[in-house]
Amino acid sequence: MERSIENIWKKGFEAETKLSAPAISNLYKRKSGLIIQQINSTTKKDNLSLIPVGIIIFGIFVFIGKVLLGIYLAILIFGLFFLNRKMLKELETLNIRDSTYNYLLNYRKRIKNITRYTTWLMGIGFPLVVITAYWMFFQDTEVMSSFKQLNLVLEILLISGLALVLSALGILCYRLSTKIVYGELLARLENILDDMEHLMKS
Amino acid sequence: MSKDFYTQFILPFAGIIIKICRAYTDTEEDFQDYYQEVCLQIWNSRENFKEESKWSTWIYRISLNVCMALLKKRKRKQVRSSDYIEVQNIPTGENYFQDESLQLLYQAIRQLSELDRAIILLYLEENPYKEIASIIGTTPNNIGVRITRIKKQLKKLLDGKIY
Repeated sequence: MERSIENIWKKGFEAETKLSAPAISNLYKRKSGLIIQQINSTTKKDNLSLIPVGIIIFGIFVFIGKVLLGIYLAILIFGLFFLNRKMLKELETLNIRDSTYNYLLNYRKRIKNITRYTTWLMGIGFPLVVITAYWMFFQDTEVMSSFKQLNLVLEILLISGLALVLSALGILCYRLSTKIVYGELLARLENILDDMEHLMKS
Repeated sequence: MSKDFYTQFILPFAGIIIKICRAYTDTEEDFQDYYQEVCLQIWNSRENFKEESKWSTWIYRISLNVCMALLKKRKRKQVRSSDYIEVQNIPTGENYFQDESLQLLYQAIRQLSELDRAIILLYLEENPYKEIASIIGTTPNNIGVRITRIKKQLKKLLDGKIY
């Protein structure tokens, strides 16, 4: 007798006992794992992109004859790469055997610490680097000699003003790039934590 | 997601979600992923549910949309990670079902296109053509024609195995 697909479906599911739903407690485990994986992979790629940037900057300054400045900037960029790598490795030391909720909480805490630390670094480090690079670039040029002719108060005011603008710019650029690259992933992480908290309360 | 919501609004319809997710996945790991994503999407979009349709229709709609989107995403990834895809290597899936004929039917359904899988699943679940058409976004006549074609295709795929 010919069996129709409708019959196979109907009879098959009548006898089926394996239609049990996965437990709700496991509902977030894999999803959060995937998000963490995505964040980790994005941060690694993001950090690795500093290497070609360092090489290109070094090449450009060597090409225009500012070797020392090229070395200085390349060292700083590679330094930033190693610093980031160290911070990212610390993320991997989190205890993944912990409960999903605790793991995510700790992960979020570390990410926030890294963000806070990098914001400080951009706010203070970026103006220092740019002003030093500016000084190295224009050293022994007319720009620098006309700057030196200004009175000391005006010089200090100008440098302080520039440092403030650069600091704000550095922080703004960092926040903006973080939002563009990680915004969606971090929002998903927050959503999962909110959901899990909601689930624990209900 | 609240436990109450899961127990009251998802669990009674878990069978629908499981049947659909199984048709779009080959491994237990993928199945768990898809099931989980469907549940979370149902929870996230619960406020968009308008009582013009049945809750079960809503579950079908979300389950199919999520599974088709995830499968497309997976296929794109596979294309990116491999220069060529071995077309003949069709995954057969693990033995999820005790009934051998059902297992074979699922293997055949997995060889259909994403949309055809959706249509035949809705048909086998005894949804009227009108409802299938509204979920898929086409006309009941078109659904009728497609079902005839899909059934022929399935029969060919199952030829000698079941019939």
